[in-house]
Amino acid sequence: MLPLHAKVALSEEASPDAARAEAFKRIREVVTREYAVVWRFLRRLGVPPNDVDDATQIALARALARSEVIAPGCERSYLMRAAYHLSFECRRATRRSLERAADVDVDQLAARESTPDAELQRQRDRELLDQALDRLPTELRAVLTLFELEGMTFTEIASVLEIPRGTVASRLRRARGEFKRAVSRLRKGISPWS
Amino acid sequence: MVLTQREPARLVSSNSTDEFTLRLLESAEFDQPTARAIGDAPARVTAFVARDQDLVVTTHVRAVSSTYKMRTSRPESLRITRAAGFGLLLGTSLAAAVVGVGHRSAPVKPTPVESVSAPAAPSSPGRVRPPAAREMQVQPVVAPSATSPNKPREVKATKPLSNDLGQEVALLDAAKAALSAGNAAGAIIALNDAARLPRRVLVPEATVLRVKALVILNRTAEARRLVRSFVAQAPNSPVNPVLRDLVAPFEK
Repeated sequence: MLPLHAKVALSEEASPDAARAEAFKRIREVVTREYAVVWRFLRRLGVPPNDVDDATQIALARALARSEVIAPGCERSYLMRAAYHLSFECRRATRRSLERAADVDVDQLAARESTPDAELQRQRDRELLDQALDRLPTELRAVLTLFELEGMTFTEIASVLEIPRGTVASRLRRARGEFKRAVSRLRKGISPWS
Repeated sequence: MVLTQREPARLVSSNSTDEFTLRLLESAEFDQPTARAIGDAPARVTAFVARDQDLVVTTHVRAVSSTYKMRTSRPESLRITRAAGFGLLLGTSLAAAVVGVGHRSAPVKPTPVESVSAPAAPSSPGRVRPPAAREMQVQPVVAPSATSPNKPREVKATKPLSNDLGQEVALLDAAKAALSAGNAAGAIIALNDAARLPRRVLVPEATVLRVKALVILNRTAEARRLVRSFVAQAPNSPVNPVLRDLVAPFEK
């Protein structure tokens, strides 16, 4: 049985419209399956909550624009790679907008008011987590996120970031060191409540 | 001997991780996009992809017309200098075309790109000279958009261009200008116009420009296919090393 991408290539010769329809069907399936993972990765890489849906869609579109070259089952590393590269652009844009104005997100504040205690606590913890991650350069942040939070293996991370496996290991060591220091600073800062 | 590095235990499953750190790490698990965002995403992403694929059509007019406007507003002296510069390229290309034709023995299987539209050798290749001012003074093909900017589709209805070397040079020059301005989609438009010329001699140059544009547009699969088919048909073309270098990063 032919793999999907080979089928698409063959059918492209037969009928471009059918090939296009098949490619789009696959894109929709992959997006539904992988959206949350890419979304979470972008959030942990520092893309602000208000921008993360747009960023996720752009990353997915960039990666899947050439879906015919992606072998079935390998989509995630393409998507995460596109997200990783996009996060640099998002962070630059965020820095600029933060320099312009310190906006207060009224919707988020209102949502927080009505949130049950446990969820409120989790939101606070996530903010602290992101503050700690903010201390790391993106290269280390990405490795730490993919390994610790997304449970990816070194081999998978090496494929996403296009670096050798050994570099993944060394980046993870450095990322853990910096993360622990950042968490320790945070803990001191919030010790009255923790 | 290959040493495989063992992966450490994750912090969330390690006994040495303190409770505070654990809490922070676990909080990430509950961070999810809204159900509505997930539901909307497939259609939106598909629309993004479709829009990018149609980019060539939608930017056609603006890109080509602005390129032509730039050309006509350029001082005459500069135009001539550029024409002479392009003449050097042209000289090479004619030689390349001759080489390409000379090595083609089997009937050519048609493919949709310029590499395969039979490059017609000039009637007297031995007396090729840079096209200097005469060819460049030939007015570039007038894009209908230049006069009716609100009717982009009219560009596609451009009549077949006459067999004029000057027109081919002008179109390739337009493609080069669009590429230098970062407008790869516009470059492809100009190259498509050039591909409609009935007789062409600048196929190798057009192929290099098209491959560059495709790579910039991230359409690397097409770029690789184009290079493969061009190299197969003109194995001794002087542009082959350039083409191979352009797609080398995307070869598996």
